Amino acid sequence: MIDWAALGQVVLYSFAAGVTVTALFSAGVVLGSSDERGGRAPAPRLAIAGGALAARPAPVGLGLYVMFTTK
Amino acid sequence: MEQDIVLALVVVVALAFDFTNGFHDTANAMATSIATRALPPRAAVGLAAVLNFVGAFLSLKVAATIAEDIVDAGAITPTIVFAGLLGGIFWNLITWHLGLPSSSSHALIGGVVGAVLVAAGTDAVLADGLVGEVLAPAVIAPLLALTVAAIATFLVYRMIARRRERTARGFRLGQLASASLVALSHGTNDAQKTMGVITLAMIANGTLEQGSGTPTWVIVSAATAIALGTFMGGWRIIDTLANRVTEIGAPQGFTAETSSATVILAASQAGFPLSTTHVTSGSVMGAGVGRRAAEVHWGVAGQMAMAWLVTIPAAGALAAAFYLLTDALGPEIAGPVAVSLLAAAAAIWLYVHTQRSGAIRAGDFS
Repeated sequence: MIDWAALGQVVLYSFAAGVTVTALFSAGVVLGSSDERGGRAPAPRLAIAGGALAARPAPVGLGLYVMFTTK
Repeated sequence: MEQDIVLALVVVVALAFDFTNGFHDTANAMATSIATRALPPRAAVGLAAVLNFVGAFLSLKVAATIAEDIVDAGAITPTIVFAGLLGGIFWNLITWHLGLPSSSSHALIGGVVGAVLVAAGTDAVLADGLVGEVLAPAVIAPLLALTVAAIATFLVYRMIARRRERTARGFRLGQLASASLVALSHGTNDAQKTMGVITLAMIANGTLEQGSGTPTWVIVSAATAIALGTFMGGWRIIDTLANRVTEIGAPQGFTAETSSATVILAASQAGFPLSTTHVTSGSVMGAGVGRRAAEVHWGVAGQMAMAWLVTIPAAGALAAAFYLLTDALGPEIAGPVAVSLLAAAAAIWLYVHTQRSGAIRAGDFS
């Protein structure tokens, strides 16, 4: 009656992707933001922030792939 | 000739349903973006309209699948489809009047089930399919989305502790990407239901051969109807999700939309049907719970849950009434024509009455 295997996949993927994507992107936003006095973040922090934010198109691309290929 | 007129009526009513589906569900993708001012209200619904239109062309594998595991396909007639669509339309209009985000897909399924019940009896309704593909996901979707969004929001607020103001712009940009994915997937899923209904009616009428693909004019007209409905903006429902469930800051808007997008896409990938409306509403509640539980207005959330519970029986009862009325007036042509005119008059009255009794417009969100 209920497809428990499919439901298990949905729960697993939702938690893994939802929490990972938000945590990564938030890390990028936080590291790239200015400090308390409004000064620019130091270069190493900006580099890590850039990496985290650059990863943002990946889940979007994966989402598009899922939309194109699902039954 | 008479059959062709009934088919034409089914096509018009299906496109009308598609239109209500669009304006009823605009809130799913864009309510939080409007709440956090990531986009001006008109720009937000414009973006959602374009993405719904594009989404309708992305995948064309659905034709004639609506309700196929829920009712006996052999029992479906053009009059049942006609009455089912009217039931769905009127439930969408009633919940829009009340400002409640209920599932348009469930309204359509409820409508078809209600019409089938009075036309062919209980044997024509497949209980396993109804429970496994509609009722169980209706319970699971909002709870799952709420939990994912609550955890994500809790984490994000821990991370930004003393940088809330300085990070808002970044979260608004991230939110737009996630909201766009939700709008695109909505177009892909929901416009195809209308395409499926029209294709099914054309096959039943003998206009198309069994196994035919969806004609291009059906794809274009369904995509256009859902995009126009979306652009019209269901501002009453947007107001509920944007302002009445919880106060939404930029990080919450981001976590709510990202959680919605991941749950919807995970469900698509696994072939597990979830309602976009239930997922996005659950995510908005979760974004409130993750920040501070007391901020969620549980009274409003309870009204929404009640609307979800009664959507299938209510749309079913409306559709059953439309079917019986059509049948009584003459199912060949007199019934569908008379009921269409009555339904159009009732829909216009409800719209005008709602606008007069306190319209909510785009300008109210500025």
